[in-house]
Amino acid sequence: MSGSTPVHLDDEERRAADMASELEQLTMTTPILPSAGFADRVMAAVAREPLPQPVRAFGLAVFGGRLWAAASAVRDAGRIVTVPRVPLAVRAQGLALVLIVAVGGLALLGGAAVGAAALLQGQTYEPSPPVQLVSPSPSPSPAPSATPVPSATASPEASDTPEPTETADPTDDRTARPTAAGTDDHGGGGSDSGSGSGSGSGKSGSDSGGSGSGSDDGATETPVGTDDHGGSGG
Amino acid sequence: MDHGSTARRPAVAPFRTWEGELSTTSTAPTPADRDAERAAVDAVLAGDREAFRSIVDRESAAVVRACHRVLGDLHEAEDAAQEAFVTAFRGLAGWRGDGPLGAWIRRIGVRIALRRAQRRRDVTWIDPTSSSGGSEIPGGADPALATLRAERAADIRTAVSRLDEPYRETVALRFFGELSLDEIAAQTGRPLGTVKTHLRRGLLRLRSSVEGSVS
Repeated sequence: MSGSTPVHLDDEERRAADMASELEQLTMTTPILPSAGFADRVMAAVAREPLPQPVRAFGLAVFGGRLWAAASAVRDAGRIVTVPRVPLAVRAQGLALVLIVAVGGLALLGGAAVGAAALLQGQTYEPSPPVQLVSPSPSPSPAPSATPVPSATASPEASDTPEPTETADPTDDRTARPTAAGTDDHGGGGSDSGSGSGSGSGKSGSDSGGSGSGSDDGATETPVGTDDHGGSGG
Repeated sequence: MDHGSTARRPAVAPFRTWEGELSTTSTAPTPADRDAERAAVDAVLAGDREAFRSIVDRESAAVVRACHRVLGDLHEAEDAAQEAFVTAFRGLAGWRGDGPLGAWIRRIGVRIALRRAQRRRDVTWIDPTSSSGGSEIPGGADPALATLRAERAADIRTAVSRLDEPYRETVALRFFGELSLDEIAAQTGRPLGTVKTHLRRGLLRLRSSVEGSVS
């Protein structure tokens, strides 16, 4: 039917119109009405059906073992969530069902993925590290014995102190600690102007790393080199 | 079936007679009807099962009539219509509301009836004296003429049920389900022009099939 000529097209359309006319005559019949008890029979059949609520249909399908019906219920639930004419309670139920199924599906998929990965790697989970952790080891860790920290830290820094020529006494180390405790242990950026507090020797402050800044006149030269965490001296 | 170049194809004017409303087509639902059917659907979805009775009462005649046009037997048509209503009840939450509810249920009924018609045996016994059976062609005073017309109607029904999709559904919804072309387009999700093309090609195939069976 190439329709190369208008006559051919008209003939084709006439054939279609004739068929349509015949079908219309077929529909013009005496009024066909359902029998008297038709509605009752339909309602009786409907009464045996679950309510068209996706949550209920899903539950019945799951308990009945009908997976296809369950999937259909989930699909309907997802559809009614976006339909504004559906009552809010039904939409909320549908949304809850969709979320539950989605979370459950993701959990199953995650578990399956982890299991598959474990199988592929040929590993099984062994709880040996927790067993070792749970059992109390009879020998405590030797860490406490190896931590004479105060003495170890004090002595090297004390050796960093400048020459003992300008310090008063080695015994000043002991006497300096109470005073240093009350002052700034961490020192500040020192300057020769002596604006900071803290202990330190004046001119030798740059070498000792003592904190603060002493005055150059050395009037306050009491604790020398006892600052453990000195900053840069002026 | 190739209809040649589309440039030479005439417009829809020659098909206006059967693209327009059929003589038996009921009027489109009013906004009040739409509101009422939406309220009934909402009530059913909210758990009121008895609200479905109003839908059955309103649509049963059209659904049974559509099934009867496909099947040609009232009892079988009522069975198909009942199955259509139960199917509609089951899937009521899936009704999108983008068309009349009656058109949606009639489409379900027509599909069920077509499926039943396909399962039938090829031989159909026709009783021309029966008022609800095979003869629905008017003018059946002469039994011989009524028998011929009944045979012709049965041939047409059989030919429609044997059309390929989507032509079968389009022709059946148009002439048996009394749906307008817009309603068919809305229900099937196809563009209106596609529905018109399917209807025209379906009619041509149907004509060829009926002529082939007669010859």
